[in-house]
Amino acid sequence: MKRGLIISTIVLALIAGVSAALSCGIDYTFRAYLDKRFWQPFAMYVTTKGGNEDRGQHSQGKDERQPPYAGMESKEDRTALQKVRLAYQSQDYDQARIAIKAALAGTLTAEETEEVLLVDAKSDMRDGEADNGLLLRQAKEKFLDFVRHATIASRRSEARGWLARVHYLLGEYAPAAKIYLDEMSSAESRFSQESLVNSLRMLFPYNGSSVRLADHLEEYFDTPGHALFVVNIVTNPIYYEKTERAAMSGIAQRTIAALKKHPDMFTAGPEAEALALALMRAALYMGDPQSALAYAKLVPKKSATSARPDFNWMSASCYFLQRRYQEAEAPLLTMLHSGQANNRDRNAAAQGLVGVYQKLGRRLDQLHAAFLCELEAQKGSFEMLPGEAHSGDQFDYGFQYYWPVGGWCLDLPYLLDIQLTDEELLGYLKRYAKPAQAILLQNGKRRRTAYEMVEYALAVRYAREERYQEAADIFTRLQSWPRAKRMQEIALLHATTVEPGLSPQDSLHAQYAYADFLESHATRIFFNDMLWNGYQTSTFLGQSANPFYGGLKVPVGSDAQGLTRVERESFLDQERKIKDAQEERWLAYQIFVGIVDQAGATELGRNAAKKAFRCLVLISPERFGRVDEIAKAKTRLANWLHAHGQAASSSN
Amino acid sequence: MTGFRSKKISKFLAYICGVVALCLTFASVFMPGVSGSDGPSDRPEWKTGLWIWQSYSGQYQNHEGSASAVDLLYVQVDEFSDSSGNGCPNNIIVSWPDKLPAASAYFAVWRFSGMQPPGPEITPVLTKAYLDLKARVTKSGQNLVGLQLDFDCPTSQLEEYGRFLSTLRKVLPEQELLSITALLDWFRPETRIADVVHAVDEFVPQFYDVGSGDWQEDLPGIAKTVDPARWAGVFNAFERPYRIGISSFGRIAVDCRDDNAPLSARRRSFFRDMNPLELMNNMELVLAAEQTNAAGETVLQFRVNPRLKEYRRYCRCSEKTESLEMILPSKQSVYQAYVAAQAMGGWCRGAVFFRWPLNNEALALTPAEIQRLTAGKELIADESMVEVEDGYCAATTCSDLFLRLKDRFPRKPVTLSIVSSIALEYFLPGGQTQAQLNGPRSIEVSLPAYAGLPRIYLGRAVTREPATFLIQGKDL
Repeated sequence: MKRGLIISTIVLALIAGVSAALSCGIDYTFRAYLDKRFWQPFAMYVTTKGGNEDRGQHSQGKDERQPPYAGMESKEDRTALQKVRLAYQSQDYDQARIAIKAALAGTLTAEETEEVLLVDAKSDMRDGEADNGLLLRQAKEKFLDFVRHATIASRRSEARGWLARVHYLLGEYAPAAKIYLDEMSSAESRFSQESLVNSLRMLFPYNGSSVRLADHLEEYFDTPGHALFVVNIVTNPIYYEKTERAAMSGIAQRTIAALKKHPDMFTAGPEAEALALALMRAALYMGDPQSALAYAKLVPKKSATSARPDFNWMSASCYFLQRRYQEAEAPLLTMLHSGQANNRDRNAAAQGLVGVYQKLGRRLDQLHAAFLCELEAQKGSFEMLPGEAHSGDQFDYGFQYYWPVGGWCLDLPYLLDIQLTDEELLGYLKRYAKPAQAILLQNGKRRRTAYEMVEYALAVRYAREERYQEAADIFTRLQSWPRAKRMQEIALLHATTVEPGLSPQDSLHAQYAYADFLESHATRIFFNDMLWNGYQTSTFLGQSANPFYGGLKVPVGSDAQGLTRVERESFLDQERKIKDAQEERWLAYQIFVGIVDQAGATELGRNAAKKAFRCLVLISPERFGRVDEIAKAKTRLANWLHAHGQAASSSN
Repeated sequence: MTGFRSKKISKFLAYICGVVALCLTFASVFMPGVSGSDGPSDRPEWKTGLWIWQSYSGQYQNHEGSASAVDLLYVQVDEFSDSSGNGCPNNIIVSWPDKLPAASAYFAVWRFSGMQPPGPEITPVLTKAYLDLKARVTKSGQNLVGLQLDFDCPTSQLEEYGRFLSTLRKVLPEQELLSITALLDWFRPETRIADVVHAVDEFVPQFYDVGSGDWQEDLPGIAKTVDPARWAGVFNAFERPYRIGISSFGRIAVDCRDDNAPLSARRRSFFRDMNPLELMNNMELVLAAEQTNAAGETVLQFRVNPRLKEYRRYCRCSEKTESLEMILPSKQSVYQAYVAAQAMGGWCRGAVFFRWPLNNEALALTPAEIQRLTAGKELIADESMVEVEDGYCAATTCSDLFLRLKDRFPRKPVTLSIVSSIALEYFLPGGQTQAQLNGPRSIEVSLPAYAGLPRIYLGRAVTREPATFLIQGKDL
C-alpha cells in the first residue's frame, strides 16, 4: 500500500513535470535583427530610482521623518483637532465637516489650522470619490488654495499629492501627471519614488493610448521635463497590437510637430540634446529612419549624449533599416563597450551586430557577436517592467530593451553547427583566441568557454566526416569522456572497414558492425548535443507546414523573417546537409543497404535489410525530411524481405 | 350677395379646420396610439440592427464598407439561468465588449436559459446591472437605450412571463426601453402573448431556427419565410413597435444516421470549426446538389466517404454519416425577408439581423453585405481586391497578401493572378488556397466554388523593395 502510494506520487509528479515542460515554452531569440520591430527605440518608463535619494523606501505616513498624513494621527485627548481626526478616520464626512467647523471656530495653532484645512479638503475628496463631480471640484479648489498658503512643507507636498488624485478622478490627466513629475524632483516631497511612479503608471500604463495622451501633447509643453516625459511615453514601441501600430505614424507626426513648435524650450546643452533624442525617437516611431539620422546629427560627437546606449541604438537602427549595414557597426560597438550599458543594452547591441555581420559576410565577427549575445542573455533576466535607471537623466528614466524574445541566443548554435564552415571555425579560434577564452557560458551542468564550444563543434564535425581519431583527441582534451570513449570505439570499427587485405565477406561484416554501432548510438556521434537542447528544428526553414502552427497556416519562424532569396536558398542547402550529416541512422541505412546489395539473400544480407528498415522507421520525419524517399525505401525493403522469406520489423 | 356668403362659408371652413387641427394636436400630445406619440415606446423611424452574440467568442471588427455606424446593435452581455429553481438566478454578470462597432444606439441583451420565466425577485438585480452598465458605457460615448431579454419561454407560460415583464417594466426607469425577442409559436391563436407584448416597448419576432433541427424530408434551412400576409395583421394588432428578426448567417451540418433506428432518427450535427473553403478543398467530398430552400437560402449537399473519420467525430458512436450540408444566406433570403418586413407596415419599425460576424467568419454576412442587400443591390461587390499587410521584415520587404473576392460564394472555381510591381524574391503560400509563383512577378491563385471567407490569406510575398500588387483575373 505504501509502496503503491509512493509509486503513484512519483508517476503523478512525472506527469505534471512533463506536462509543464511541454506547455511552457523557452524564451529564445533567432535572427531578431530581421524584424523591423526589433530595431524600435527602447521603451521608457519612469523608474523608482533617481531624484531625492534621501526618501528611500518609506511608504505613506509611516516614515519616521515625515509626520502622519493630515487627519490620520491618533491621540487619546478630546481636543477639537482630535475630534476632526476621529470623524475623518471613521469616514463620516458629514460629522467631519461639523467637527472642522467647530475646530476652526476655536483656538488652534497655525500648524493645527493647516491640518484641519487639509482634512477639510480631503473630506470633500473622499466624499466625492463615488462620482460626485461637484464635491471633487470643491476639493480641488480647497487643495489649490491650501498649496498656495500653507507654510509646512510636508503638508504642502501632501496636498499636491491629493490634488493630483482629484485631477485624476476628474479625468484631468495632464495636471495630475505634472504634479507627480514635479514631486519626483522636489526636495520637499514627502512621497516615495515608488508611489509616484505607481501613480504615473496608473495614468499612463504604457504609452498613454488608453487616455489618448497623444491628443493632449501641448498641455505638457510648459517645461522641458514635462514635454520630454510625455514624448517618451507616447513613442514607446508597439510590437503586436495592430490598432496601436496603425496609429504610430500619426502620433509621431504630432509629436514632432509639437517639439518643433517649441524650439525655445530646448535651447542649448543637455536640453537641446534631449530634444534631438526625442526627435530621433519620434522619427523612428514614424518609420522614417532618414529623418531620425538627420536629427542625430544635432548631437555633438563627443557629448555625453553621444555615448548613451539609447542614442547609439537609435543610430544603429537608422542605418540598419536603411540597409547601410557597414555604418550600423560603429554605434553598436559603442553601445556594446559603453560603461553606461547594462546587460540588456549589450545583448541588444550583440544581436544587432550578429545581423550586421551576417549582411556583411563577416562570419567570424558574427560568431563572436553571437557568443556575446548569449553571454549577456545568461547574465540577466529580461523583465519587462521596470527598467533600470541610467544616471544623468533628469527623471532617471529606465531604459529597457522591450523585445519579447530576449532569451537564449539560437543564432549561436546555428552558426556553430550549420552555417559556418570548418575553416571558419578554425579561423575564429585563431583570430579570437583570447577573447573566446574569456567568455564563459553555462552549458548544461558545466561551464564552457567560447573557445571550448568551438572546439567541441569542430570535433563533432570531424566525427561526421569520419575523422574519428581527431574527434576523439579533441573530446579528450575537453574532458568529454563519454564522447571521447565513443569516438575511440567507432574509430576502431571504422578503421576495420578500410583495412587493406580484408576478404569481401570480412569487409561486409566489418561494415555491418560499424553501421550497427552507428544505429545503436543515434544522436551520440554526429549530433552536437552541446548546442540545441531540443530546439534545432525551430530554426529550420520550411516550418509553415508544421501542424503546431495550424489554423491559418501562415509562414512562421525562419520562413517569416524575410531572408533574401540567396540567403534562403543557401540556408536551405546547408540545413539539408546538416540533416543528412547529423543523422547516424541515415548513414547506417546507406551502409546496410550497400551490404544487402553485395551480400544478397544471405543471412547477413537479410539482417542488414532488417537493420536498414529499422533505421528508416526510427528516423524522425519532422526533423529529417525526405519523407517520400524514406517511404519508398521502406516499401522496397519490405518487399525485398518479403520476397526472401522475412518480415520487415522495426525491432531486431 | 355671393361674395358675402362665400366669405361666411370660408370663415366657417377655416373655423372647422382650426378646430380639427387643435383636436389633432391635443390628441397627438395627450392620447396614446393615435400618431404613435406615447412616450419611449414610440419610435416612428425605420431602423435596422444586428445582434452581437458573445457566446461565439471572438473579435468584432468593423468590416469593410461599414465606415458608417449601424443604426442599432443588440449586444449580448450575459446568459444566465435559474439554477436555484426559485426564479432567481444566482448572479447577473455584465460583459460589455471593449471594442464594439460604432452604432447610433445599443441594447444590452440578457439571454435567460431557464425552463420557466424568471421570478420578479430578479428585477431589481437586473435593473441595477443594466443601469450600472449604462453609467459606464455612457462615459465612453455609447448610447445605450434599452435592455432586451432573450428567453425562449414555453408558450404555456406566457402569462407568467408577461407578469414578470410588467414588473420589470415598472422597475426600469421610464426612459429606458424594454425589448424582448419573440418566438413565432407564441402568436398562435389563444395564447397569452398579449400579456407579454403589452408589457414591453418593443418585441422582435425571430424568423429563423423555427424548426427542431432534426432531419426532415424537405430542404433544410435556418431562415423562415417572412410572409406579411400571414403575419402583419397578427403583429400590428398589438399596437406595439416591433422589428423583424432576420437570419444573415449560415451553418454546416453533418447528417448523422443510426441504421438501427427508423429513418426519422436521423439528425443534424452542426459544427463551427471548419469553413467553406476547407470543406470545398477537401477532395473527399462530392458536391451532390445545389438548391434553394423556401426562404431563399442556398443549400449545398455533399456526399461524404463514410470511412472518413474526421466527420464521424460529429456523430455518436452508433451513428454514421454519409452526407454533409452547408446552408448559406443569399441575396434572395435576406432581401426577400427585408422587403417582407417593410411590407408589414403598421407598427413595424425595422429589422434586426442575426448576427454580426466574428472576424473573418465565412458563414455570416458582413454588415456591408447586409447594407448592400437591404438597398436592393447584389451581394457581389464591385470588384475583387487584394489587400497587403506589412510583414515587418527589416532587410527585405515582406507583404502578407489577402484576397477579397467580389463574389464570396462563386458558383464555380476561381482562378486569378496577383501581379507584383517588381520581381519577387520568393513567395510562401499560406492559408488554404492553391497559390504559387507563376513567373518572376506573378502569383497564380486557384479557389474552389463557394469559398466563403470574406478575406482569404494567400501567403507572404518577399521583395527587395516595397511593391504593389494587383489582380489580373481569368474567372472573376
